[in-house]
Amino acid sequence: MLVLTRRPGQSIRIGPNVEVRVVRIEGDRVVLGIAAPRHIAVVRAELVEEISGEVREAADTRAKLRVMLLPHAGSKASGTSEGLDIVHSSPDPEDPGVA
Amino acid sequence: MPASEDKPVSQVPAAAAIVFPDGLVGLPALVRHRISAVPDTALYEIVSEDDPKIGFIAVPVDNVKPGTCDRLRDRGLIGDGEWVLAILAVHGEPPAITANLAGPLVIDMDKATARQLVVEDPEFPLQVPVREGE
Repeated sequence: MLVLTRRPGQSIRIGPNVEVRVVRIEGDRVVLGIAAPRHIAVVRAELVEEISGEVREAADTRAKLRVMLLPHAGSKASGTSEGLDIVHSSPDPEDPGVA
Repeated sequence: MPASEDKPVSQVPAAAAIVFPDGLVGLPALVRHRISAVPDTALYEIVSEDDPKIGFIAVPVDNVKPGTCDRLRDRGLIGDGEWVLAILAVHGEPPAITANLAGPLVIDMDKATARQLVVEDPEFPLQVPVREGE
């Protein structure tokens, strides 16, 4: 890993289009400003880890989901939700949704 | 314009192969999948063809939070003809269902390709409750 030392107000460039600037230092936190093209995702590394965990959780709980959402799988789904009706409803009356 | 108007979900065939060239977040090896609409519901089931034990149930993001597709489009994160699903998961006891808006699936049925976004924004939570524990 390349390690660089920068002061507040200084920046580094990554490739031709990405700039990372040290905006300020607050105690043990470093505030960074990042300029990058819109197609380059700039996210906290821990968010990627959290999404990865959620994806695995979703895979692990698929069977339980089927039982909860599709109690009569193979026939017309039934039942109402205690929260959003994600099974049946379309929030936009003009949304064709599914028949 | 909601993605469903660009690509009505009713146009999705009963089952179709889709490729995630970069895999899923945390599961980069899972590239080839099959998506199918769950009959008589707004739900979709996505099953890996690389590892058939792994699959997901998903729902259009606008069914979870109306306007989500518009916000993604406004930020240039999705294009015309792409529509977006949120993966559902079960958490806790009693079990509650949540939808993942932080890592939505962007699907282009014309090209049979898809990608998973990572959205860094409080408006796109990782676990949106859609059904509380019962």
